[in-house]
Amino acid sequence: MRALKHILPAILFLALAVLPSCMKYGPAEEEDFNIDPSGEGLFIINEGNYMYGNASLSYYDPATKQVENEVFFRSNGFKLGDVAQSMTIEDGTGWVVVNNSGVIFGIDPSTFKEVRRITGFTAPRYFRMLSPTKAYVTQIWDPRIFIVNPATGQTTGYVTTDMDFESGSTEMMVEFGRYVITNCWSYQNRILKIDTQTDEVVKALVVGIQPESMVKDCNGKLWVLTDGGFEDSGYGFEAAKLLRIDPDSFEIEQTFTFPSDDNASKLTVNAEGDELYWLNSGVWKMSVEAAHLPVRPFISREGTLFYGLTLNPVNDEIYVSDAIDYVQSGVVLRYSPQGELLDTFKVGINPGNFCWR
Amino acid sequence: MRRLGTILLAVTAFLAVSCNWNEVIDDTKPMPPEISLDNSSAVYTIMTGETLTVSPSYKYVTGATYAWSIDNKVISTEPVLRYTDDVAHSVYIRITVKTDAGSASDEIRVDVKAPAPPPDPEPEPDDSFWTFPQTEFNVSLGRSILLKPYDIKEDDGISYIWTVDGTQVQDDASAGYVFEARQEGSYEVRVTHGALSQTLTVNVCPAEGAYRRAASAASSPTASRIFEFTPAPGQYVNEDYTANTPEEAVEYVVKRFTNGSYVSLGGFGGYVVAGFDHSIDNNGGYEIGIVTHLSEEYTEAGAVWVMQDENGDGLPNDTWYELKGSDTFAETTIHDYSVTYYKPSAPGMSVQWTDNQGRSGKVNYMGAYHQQEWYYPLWISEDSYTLRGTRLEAHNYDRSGNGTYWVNPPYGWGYVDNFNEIDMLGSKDTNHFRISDAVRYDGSPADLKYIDFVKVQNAINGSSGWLGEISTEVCGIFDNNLSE
Repeated sequence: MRALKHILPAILFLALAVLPSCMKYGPAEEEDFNIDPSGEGLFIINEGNYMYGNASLSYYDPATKQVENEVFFRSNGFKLGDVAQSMTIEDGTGWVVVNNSGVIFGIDPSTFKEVRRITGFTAPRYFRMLSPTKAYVTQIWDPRIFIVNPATGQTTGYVTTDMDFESGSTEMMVEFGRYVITNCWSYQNRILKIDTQTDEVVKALVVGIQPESMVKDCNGKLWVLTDGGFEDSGYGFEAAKLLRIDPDSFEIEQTFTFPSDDNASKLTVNAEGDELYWLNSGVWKMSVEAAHLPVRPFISREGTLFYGLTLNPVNDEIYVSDAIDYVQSGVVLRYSPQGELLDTFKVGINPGNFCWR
Repeated sequence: MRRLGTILLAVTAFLAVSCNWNEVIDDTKPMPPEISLDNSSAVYTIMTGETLTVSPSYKYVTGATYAWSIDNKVISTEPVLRYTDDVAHSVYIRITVKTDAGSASDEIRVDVKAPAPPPDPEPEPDDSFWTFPQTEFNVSLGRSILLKPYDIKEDDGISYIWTVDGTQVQDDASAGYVFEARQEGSYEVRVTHGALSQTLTVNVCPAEGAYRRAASAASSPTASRIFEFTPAPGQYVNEDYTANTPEEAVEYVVKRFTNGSYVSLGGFGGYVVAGFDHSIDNNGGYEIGIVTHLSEEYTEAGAVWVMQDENGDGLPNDTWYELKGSDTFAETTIHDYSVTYYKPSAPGMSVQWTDNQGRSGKVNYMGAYHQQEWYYPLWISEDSYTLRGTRLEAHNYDRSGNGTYWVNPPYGWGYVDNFNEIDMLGSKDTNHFRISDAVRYDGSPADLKYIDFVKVQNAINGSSGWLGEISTEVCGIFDNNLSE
């Protein structure tokens, strides 16, 4: 059953390494947006379907409860590309990473107009700006982290690792002072600590099979969620784990092991940094001081296929995306901090990530 | 000077250690109780009938009372919980400890699981000498139809004698008999093989065209009615939908097609039958479109069959004609291939199958990803059912060599859910089909002028490791004449 591939992106991205990218450009009428730059807003990054070139960007205004879909296409007159992965807003620019198109678009968060473009990637995953002239870009099926100059769009170097091109990859990046910690997710089991002044990996730590997501808490600790791989994986399969790691000593301080049949992912933290959230069929919530994992979901899954998770940094409202069946347009569900469903709105296909402005 | 420094250092150290140096520390103040569970997940798993022992660590519990409760009902007042359950379910149990100084509370979950049922015994294939999956046939005047027993166990050298309305028409070692529809009417056809015999009914209907329903401006290009949805067992069968009757299964398909969503046909032989509010004319082009999921690397090919409403009753109970594809006449293709699926004896089990080639296997239960209890369609009440059709050789293989990356290269053309440049016609999600590719039982062109019904049937019996069974996905069926 091929649809399962959407559930396990590890397989999907194997294909990325061997197939040509496809980014559809086409002339279209451009629409003018002008979002109030002082207000909060939520970008929804819709992956689209692999090889369909139907990734898109949606924008939701929590104040007006209005959603605008396909804002990138409507504003720029051409499509975002194939498999949008992530977005971050740094230095007033929104950086949208489009995986299978091998491109990162810098957009104006208020007009959605393209203002920068960085190319030369094969499968970029995440963008992290370190200074106006230096950023890291992680890739899947690439042992290197690209060092780019966002101002010029040029690749200026690489952070090299001991992984190989066949299975090496890096994912998210969390900054601790001069260090960046990245997780090696697909068919890997470590996190790496990188000195951003020397652009060298200074430490590596085995955390468990497939560290999938990471966040920093209010105590300056790093939390890592491993998904444990999947059954019949040649790399192995184990129970998912949630680990607290001291970023200085780079040692594991605490390990919480999930029941073996759980499928945990998308570790998120609230703005205060004292509550962890993740997806595991439903939405789960845990204090960073908790002695054990919660035993019941905070928000139950009821006929939904939860796919992405974020919290409003202003009021802790919870936003969960529902990919429905990975084919039709997805839906975002908005919950109160107490877990009550407030409303829903339709977005693009496979809404997998979010970015607050 | 060194001595003064030592004294200052000692004072500083004292102050540093005593963060609350300005508070009065009262060692006699009673502390509220504390609970530390003996499991970092707080989830305990036991089998039905087993006894679980939970031994938390407690602090400050002098004179404490303990209460373990389920839904506020106390089940134990001991510090250590011993819990037994005969029902497979998850239960939440709260421990509350109280002393004069305060209280503490925590919650655990106990997942009570039923013991895995013993594996079902190997199914015993039907030992009948032959099989007649259909005993009544409708065929238009002027056509011929092949009547035959299926799945004959052995060639015993005994001839097959055919009679039509009592008159012997054939005595031959070969089992099949070609009935020529020369005159309208109902005929009793009987085949005898030694002591065995079977009676069939053939209804010769008016000639082609009598019941043709011409398309009009009001005709819908999309299938107006789903007549049947009979998937083979599979990981998507019964998932996120409940259908306890064939009618409810059809409703599910209608809803999915309306939403543009796919239905999975499960393993080999699973099929869906659709009809239109008009006849689709054969204009020599690609008259039928079938929306699906297309992947260059992973085909899940389904064969397409078409039917005319030969008896004019509006139901797909006439003669199916296969639309030939690139591999219809390949040596590796098996016609009249059949697979029998056996209902598991308990939930959460793989579905066993046998085929008419003497092979057997399983549609694996993949509980890590698809947790519905049954992969066997709930609306099929029988303990086994047989699906019959044309089987293509599976192309799937593990490209990674370690089980992680399965591919199934596409066939040339002529199948649903099959990436190819010939019949996609530039589309990204649709395979297109020609009525003129319809073939008769002997592979010759059927020369149909129009059709009324379309059947899509999974044509591959294969499985790809953790991806599970190969299963055709269908999102919709339409008249391409009207959509162009």
